Amino acid sequence: MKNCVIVEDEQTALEVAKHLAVKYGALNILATFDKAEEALEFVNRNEKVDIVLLDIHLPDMSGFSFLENLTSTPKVVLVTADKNLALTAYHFDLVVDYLVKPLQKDRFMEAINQC
Amino acid sequence: MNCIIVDDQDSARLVVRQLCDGINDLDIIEEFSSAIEAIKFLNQQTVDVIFLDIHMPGFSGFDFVQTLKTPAQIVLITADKDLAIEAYEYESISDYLVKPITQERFNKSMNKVKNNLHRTSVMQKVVQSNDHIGNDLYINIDRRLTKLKFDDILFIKAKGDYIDVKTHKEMYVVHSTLKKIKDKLPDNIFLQTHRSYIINFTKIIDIEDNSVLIEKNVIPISRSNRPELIRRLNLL
Repeated sequence: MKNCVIVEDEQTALEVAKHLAVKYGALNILATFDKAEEALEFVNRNEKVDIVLLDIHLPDMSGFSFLENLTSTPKVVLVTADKNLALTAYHFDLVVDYLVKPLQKDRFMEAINQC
Repeated sequence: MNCIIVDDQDSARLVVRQLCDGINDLDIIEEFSSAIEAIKFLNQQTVDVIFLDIHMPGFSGFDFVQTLKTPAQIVLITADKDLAIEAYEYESISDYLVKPITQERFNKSMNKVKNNLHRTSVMQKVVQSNDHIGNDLYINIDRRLTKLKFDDILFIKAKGDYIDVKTHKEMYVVHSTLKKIKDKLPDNIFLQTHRSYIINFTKIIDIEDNSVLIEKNVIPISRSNRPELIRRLNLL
């Protein structure tokens, strides 16, 4: 079973992501964070993280700053309501997919299967 | 790596050719000014990488990607910044480059493509090295005996007094136990990976530390069963 971390500041979106991750992604959720900085610290020192589900607009820093400061190499699935940042996402090799909220089960599973 | 360029503009293809010159192991084997011509070519021959424009008259880059039957890494090359979100819908698209493209960005993209190709070829080796056998299993469903080919079975999951037998198309619920069915299955393609799971390991797409991927299903591997799985794979 793959281990994932969810970084999401919006409560409802977090609940949806958790539900899909466990039920359809068969993922083990190691931790969830509503701020990027704490998440970054956790992911950088925890080698067991296979997948990060990452929101882009976060209160303390953007998801892209998070990616720039990442020293480990988990697979990253971006989850955002913002459709306009996909081009920037292509600059980051760790990003395997870009999902637009609200999350859909089938599309979510496609993303996880690429991880 | 073999590649082709698909772009309706001569000048755009020239730019891609120049960027390719900077990459050691990249050979341009053909160029096309229309997507249709490229598809005809790809019906005869496989390539590793396709450099693809999006906006082309008659048949767009996305139309092309949808039509494509061969597995290749696709790198979109376009002046249009606004379609990256759509590009993420296609797993075969590895990168999205917006003109003008620096050599540095192009090199980075080629590294990504190389890594993806390597990953794909490892998976294909696992699949190809498995010999298929053609025997059948009869299962009792609604008082009818239904024939299943061993090779069609993806995995079997224990569920109390029942077992789920999953094939590509169906999920059969059968009144039986995992132990009973295990004795009926040939052990050269089936393997118990977990207390509740027997898998057809020729169907494995991907293997992780403690799970395997079969089609879209993630199947757990318990610690005690993992060495046996690894041993089997080493034999192949």
